[in-house]
Amino acid sequence: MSKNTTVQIDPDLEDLIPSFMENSREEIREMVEAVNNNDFVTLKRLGHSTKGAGRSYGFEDIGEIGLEIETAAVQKKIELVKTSINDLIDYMDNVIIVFE
Amino acid sequence: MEKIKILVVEDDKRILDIYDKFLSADIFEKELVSNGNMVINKYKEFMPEIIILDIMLPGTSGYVILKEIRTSFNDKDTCVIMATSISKQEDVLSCVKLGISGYMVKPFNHRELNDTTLTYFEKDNQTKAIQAREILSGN
Repeated sequence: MSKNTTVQIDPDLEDLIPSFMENSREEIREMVEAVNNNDFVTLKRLGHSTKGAGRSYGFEDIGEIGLEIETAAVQKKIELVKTSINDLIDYMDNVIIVFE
Repeated sequence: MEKIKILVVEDDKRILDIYDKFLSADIFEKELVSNGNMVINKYKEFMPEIIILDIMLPGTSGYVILKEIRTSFNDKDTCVIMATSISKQEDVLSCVKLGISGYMVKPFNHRELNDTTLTYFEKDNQTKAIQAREILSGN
């Protein structure tokens, strides 16, 4: 995942973005806990919801990472799940949002 | 016009925020629920005219909730719109058999949320849906 990715988001969604970020970080915490418990059912659900939420806001990269987590969870590939979660953390830490 | 009572059931708070913002407060009286286990109590208390119901919920699924509304409560009238992801559209078929007014595929366009909701509601209450559209268009 490249550093400082710039993404264009609909200005109508601007006031929702702080809550989106906070809820996404909370979800990452739940993912890490699920990884520690080898809980693939929860990981599948969280990957699925990350995919849907990311795409709903226009964060296509988050949507793709969510899909990767969901798929890896279905296949019970914990290392792939971990890699994708790290990609998600990296993206969240470095994304630059432009509202236009 | 009395506002249309709408109950939205969605476990992802990020998506719930979108419903909350873009379902117009000019025409809808909204109740938002993120926990599937709380839906039936809210349904009995609020008596919504429209329910937007996510199919894939942790705990009690949208399908089970729909089944309870249509069979246990024998409610065939409330407009129920199922929300599902594009990869799970086949899940809608089982809901159709129980009776739904329509479905939305996520991710949906938030700009079309009011129109889509009213389009499905129109089948159940044409007069009120038309009035709501007039309010939205500023007439």
